[in-house]
Amino acid sequence: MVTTQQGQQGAGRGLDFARDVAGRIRDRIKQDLIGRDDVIELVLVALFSDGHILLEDFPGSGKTTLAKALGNSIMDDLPDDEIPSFRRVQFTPDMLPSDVIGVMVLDTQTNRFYFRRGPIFAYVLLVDEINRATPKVQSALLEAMAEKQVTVDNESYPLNELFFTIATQNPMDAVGTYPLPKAQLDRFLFKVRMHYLDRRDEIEVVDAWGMPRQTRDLPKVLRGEVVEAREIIRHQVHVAPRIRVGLVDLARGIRQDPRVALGISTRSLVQAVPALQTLAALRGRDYVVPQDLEYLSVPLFQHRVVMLPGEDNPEDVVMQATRMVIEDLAEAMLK
Amino acid sequence: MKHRLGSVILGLLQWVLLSFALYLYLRDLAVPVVVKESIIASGGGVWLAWLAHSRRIPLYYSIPGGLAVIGLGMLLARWVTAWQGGPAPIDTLVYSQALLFSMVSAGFVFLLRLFALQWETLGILEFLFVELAVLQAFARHRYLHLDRPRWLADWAIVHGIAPQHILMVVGIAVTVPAFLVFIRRARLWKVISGLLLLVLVALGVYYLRNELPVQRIVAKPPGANSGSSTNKNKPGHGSNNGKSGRQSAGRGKGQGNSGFGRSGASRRGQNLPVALAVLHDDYAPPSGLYFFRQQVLSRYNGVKLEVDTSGNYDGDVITRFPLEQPVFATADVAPEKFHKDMAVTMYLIMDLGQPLALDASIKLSPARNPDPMQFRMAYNTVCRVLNVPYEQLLDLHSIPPQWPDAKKRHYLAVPDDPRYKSLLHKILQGLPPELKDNDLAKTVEVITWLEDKGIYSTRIAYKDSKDPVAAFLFKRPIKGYCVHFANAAVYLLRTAGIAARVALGYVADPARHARDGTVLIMNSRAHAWPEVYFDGAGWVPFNVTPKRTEDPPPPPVDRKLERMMGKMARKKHNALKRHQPRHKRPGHARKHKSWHNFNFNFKDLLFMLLGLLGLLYLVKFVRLAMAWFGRGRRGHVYVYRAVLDRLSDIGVRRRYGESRESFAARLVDTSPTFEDLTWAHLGVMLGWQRQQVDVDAARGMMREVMNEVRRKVGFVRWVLGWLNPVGWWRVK
Repeated sequence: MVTTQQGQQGAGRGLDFARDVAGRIRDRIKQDLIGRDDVIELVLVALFSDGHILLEDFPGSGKTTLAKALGNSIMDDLPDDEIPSFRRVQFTPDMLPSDVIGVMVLDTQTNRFYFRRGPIFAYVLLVDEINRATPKVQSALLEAMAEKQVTVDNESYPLNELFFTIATQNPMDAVGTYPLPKAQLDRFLFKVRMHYLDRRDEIEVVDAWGMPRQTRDLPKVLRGEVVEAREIIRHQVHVAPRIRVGLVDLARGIRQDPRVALGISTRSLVQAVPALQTLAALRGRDYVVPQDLEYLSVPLFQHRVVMLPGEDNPEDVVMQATRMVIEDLAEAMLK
Repeated sequence: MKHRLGSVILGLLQWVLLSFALYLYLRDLAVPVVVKESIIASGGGVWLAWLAHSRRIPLYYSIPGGLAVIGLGMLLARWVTAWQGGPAPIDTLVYSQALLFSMVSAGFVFLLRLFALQWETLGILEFLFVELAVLQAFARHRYLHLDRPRWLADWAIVHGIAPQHILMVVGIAVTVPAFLVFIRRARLWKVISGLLLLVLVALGVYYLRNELPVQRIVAKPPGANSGSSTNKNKPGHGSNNGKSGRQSAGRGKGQGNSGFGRSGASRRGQNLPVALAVLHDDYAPPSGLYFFRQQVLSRYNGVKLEVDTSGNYDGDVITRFPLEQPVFATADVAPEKFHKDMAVTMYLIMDLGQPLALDASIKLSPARNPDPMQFRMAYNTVCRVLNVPYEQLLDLHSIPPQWPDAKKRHYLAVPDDPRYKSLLHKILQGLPPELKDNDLAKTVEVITWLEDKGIYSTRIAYKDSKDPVAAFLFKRPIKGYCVHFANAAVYLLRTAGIAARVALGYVADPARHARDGTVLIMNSRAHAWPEVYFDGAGWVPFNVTPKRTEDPPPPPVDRKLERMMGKMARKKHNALKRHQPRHKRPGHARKHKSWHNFNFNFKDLLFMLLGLLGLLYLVKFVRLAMAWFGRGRRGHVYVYRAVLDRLSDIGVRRRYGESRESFAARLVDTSPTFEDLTWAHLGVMLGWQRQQVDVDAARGMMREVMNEVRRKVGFVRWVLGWLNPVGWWRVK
């Protein structure tokens, strides 16, 4: 029923392979999700650059559909690890960390405790309404996101190396929420604000709803292929020294902006490099160009900037610094 | 908040500096009461510019908006002036001036600020605006006009400090903040290029001002014979040349502007002291005015009256300065019957071409210059001034019987135009029969008639007429200024058989001057008047003052300044001790080396501009040519740069903060190949170093791009692009 395209194993495969993997995922997601090409691209960038993504949007805008489609397009090639490709957790205020991570359970037959895995053991995890759970749960999750392992009763259980979180939060409801602190927001590679669909796409969505879907069985990708594609991208996309310098200048520019209380972290710059590489690869290049920076700087950095009281436009701060860097880069390239 | 407070303080500082500059400019131009309004209005300009910039109002709204405010100010001011039955004249003047200057200041400051906010290079304009204000205010000081800026100089002198030190300190105190406030943030090369550009423009303006306009008043050392300059006079009563003989005083800056042919607007702005006269005796002139005569026009050359250079006539007018020896009047000196001799010491503040003295001087002798820092030179005069009322001349005849015929003809020559005779006949109709042959009565009748019928106006000039006097006199209403009236009076008097000539110089109203015998002669009171010869009394000055006038009264003489200069002139001993070593020869002005005497003219400027243009083209074509010579990565850069140059030439440029890729994507309709070339360029510059650089392919693409662009933009724009010398400069 599901055709799996077995990729060739081994080294020597190039960016075309990585692009092909990404293309297959993209095609599968697009089949389920209409009119969100930009978000899909960012999700793919996050997936292949080993980051996590925070979607900020109104209810019913396709977040879950997106995450599900993504989870469904990845096929488990390690049946023994008992990790499913997709799980979803709905965060609520009464949750406990064990609801997410897992819990030690007594096996009555052997009289021994064994670890019963929580939903976090998945390749793609959708965390719905992350700001509804208490900070305790949030930090348990965020630790897992950063370390790719969970610790229960002094024992560590590794997550799969392809551990990709899509978290969502609703920007409107403030009652009964625990907003993520900036330090935790910093763990997310991107924060993406989804917007309403445009009219034509929305009509298409309404038309298609409830109709028997003409789904084609598009090829899935293997978990291992995604991991391999990550490696390929990391090694085969060139980031010119100028671009790296530009990245640092961008951070400095943001920090020096008089409207900013706290600028972006060095970690965010380290995370930004693979993201830029991935975008370049997805767009068919083996080198990063300023346009990649232009495209990614806002989702990459805007949620990490702490503004002074009275200022509320981090996007503008980031754009201004980006323009400055692009100007410098353009000038440097004619010399 | 910190940021906002800082920008508010910066804005205030900018406003303070700009208003100080405005104040310095307006002091000379405007009625004092409107300076305050203008400065407040300029604050509005600063604020509006900031608003327009922060709200991102497009320049094609804001620039015309600023210009419109300026234009509106001018229009409204004119309307208020022309408003019949409006407020009282003085209020009208104040309102119109307030409207004019406040709106013009607001608009000007708005534009200045807007430009500076928009393009940081143009921040230099504001800086220069402030600097020039200080410079022009202080430059006057340099030309020995103590009153500029007087509030400062007076204070300094009173406290025994040399004014120049104070001025220097003020200059620095303004320059440094102006630099910090206006061009602190600009990049150095932008500042320098902006400065260079402005220097070029300023040089251009300066030399256009001095070279192109008809008149360039040559600054001659005092005492040089200026009579020769009149030979160059072109015919034309009201032409600017008409005054060059009298007024060589301008020092190239238009300071000696007499208003002869110019409209009054330029004249009223000038209220500078020309000379200081110290009268050593009491004197109440019968005409009610002190006439300071400098020159006379007596020869009729077929078109107009001019200075007699033959040396046969007007021997009573001394035209040479007494450099070392006294100079005496040679002929026609008035007998002492109706006159008295008065000692007057003249202190020249401006360079004059010919000496100036009260009425008719009979002897000039050198005097010590008490303060060469303030006075160009000094000389003693003995003036034979009319000391009796005009009535006592009633029985005198004009032309002495012993005069030779040539002399009679000289002083009676008039245009061959019957209209003069008929007009004269009309004028003299009213004379009682017993006075029909009385020369004084005829003179008075003619002058009274002119005063009744004439309207004084400096806004008029009779330049191109063949007989300018006729153009003036036979037109209704008779409208003109002193020169016109004096000439008309002389023509009519000569027609009546009375020897008359036009005298040029300055007048001063005794009532308006200090009582201690010090008369500050201002160039706003440059004047022309008729003189009539009476047998037995010599040349007697008359004044024609039309009863109606369209001009505001002359600005008052600054009594404070007058008194101060008078004291300075009298304080000979102390001053002389200080300056003796450097200025040994009394009465001789120090040698003056002015910076604008250096030999540089308009042609040089033209060549300089052409040279600059050539240089720009050279750079342009060298950059283009380099596209064919580079190799490897450099070659690629040259090729890409050449393409960018060409696009910039036709006005297609990358926006600020736009990446090259986005720029290329934006241009994809114009030139699809440009996008390919851009990607090739980016690949070379940012991709893996191991890949081969194919410059030839890039050159191929370059040609393709140029073809595509040419097809797209059309021939005209393409050619204009080639002619654009600065496209490469603006490439980003």
